Amino acid sequence: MSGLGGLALVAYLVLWAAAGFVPERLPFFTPVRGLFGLLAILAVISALAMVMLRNPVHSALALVANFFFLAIIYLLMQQVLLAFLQVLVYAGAIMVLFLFVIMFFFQPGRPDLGSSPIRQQTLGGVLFALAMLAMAMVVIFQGASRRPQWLSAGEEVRSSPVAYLFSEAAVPRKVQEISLTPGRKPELQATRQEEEQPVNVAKAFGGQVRAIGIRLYTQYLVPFELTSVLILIAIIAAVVMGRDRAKKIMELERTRQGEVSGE
Amino acid sequence: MTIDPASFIPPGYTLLLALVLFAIGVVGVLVRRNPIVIFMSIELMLNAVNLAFLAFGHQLMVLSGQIYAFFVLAVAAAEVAIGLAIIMAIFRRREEVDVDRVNLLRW
Repeated sequence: MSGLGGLALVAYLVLWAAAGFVPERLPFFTPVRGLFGLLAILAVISALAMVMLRNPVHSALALVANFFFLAIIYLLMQQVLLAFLQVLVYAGAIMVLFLFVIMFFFQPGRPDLGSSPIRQQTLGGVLFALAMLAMAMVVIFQGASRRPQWLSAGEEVRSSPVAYLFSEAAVPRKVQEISLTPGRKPELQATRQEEEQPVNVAKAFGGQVRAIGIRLYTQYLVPFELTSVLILIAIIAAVVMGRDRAKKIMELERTRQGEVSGE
Repeated sequence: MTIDPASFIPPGYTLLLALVLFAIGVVGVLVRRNPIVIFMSIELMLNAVNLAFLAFGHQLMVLSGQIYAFFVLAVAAAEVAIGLAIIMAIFRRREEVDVDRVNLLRW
């Protein structure tokens, strides 16, 4: 256990180095942040493994590990519903689909597995990704260090989330954003009572999922229904492609057998 | 809904992690030859975007982060279903899946 704690501390220091060693940007060490640093490093390692491993099955398993690490990070951030959806949908459904397709078609030892990288593109691809990374980092650090220009002199900086990127404080919002319609307010009162107490994870579990469900079926009803249409179209497309191909292959087989018997 | 300061993760660090993961995904898409691994890299990039959404949802203490991430998740699932069907169709027809050799539509 102490080794794990030490590893968490090291991970935390690496994160600090990533923030440019600015003392004001270093939040005090807490177990949650140390765990976050550890999980972040594990997630990066598993992502690198996913890209670099030759065997697609190994790549898929590394990606599953990556999804689990991200799910724990979501839990640390109190984003409970998405943490569980991450495990259920990504690790459970999508990756199983990937593994199924891989194992269905790819036999080891075949030369056309496509396991080797595209050599002439490797250097360019890595350079491109690094340039993109550097650009986005510049944007983040500038946004974090600058006082936003639209603020007047005496105004509270709190209205800009970007100025708080590396600080200790969350930016609390009014409870109304979580609530229902302005007319009936049963949910609103419930959350307002919770507002005064620190969120403990068990308590947030029931409350968050419920609040998200309510908003999905009221405020976000149209996108939600459109999503169901999208998924229906995806299902139909997948089925149509499979059927078309199967029929053609059967015809192909029949003509081949005809040729063989003709000889 | 307030938050214990000791368990608050400043979103700058989460954004850095999301950036790194996204860049790794970009490398995977550009460098790998196997379309399935390319798809997995795209999943990684979508996950990085989700992480950024949730970091801001954590910081602002709103649920919108999770709701947007939920829609990203649904779109990713649809995309994977269609993409893998296309890959299977190509593989069945051509007996290979090297993205450099599937160039029928090249001009």
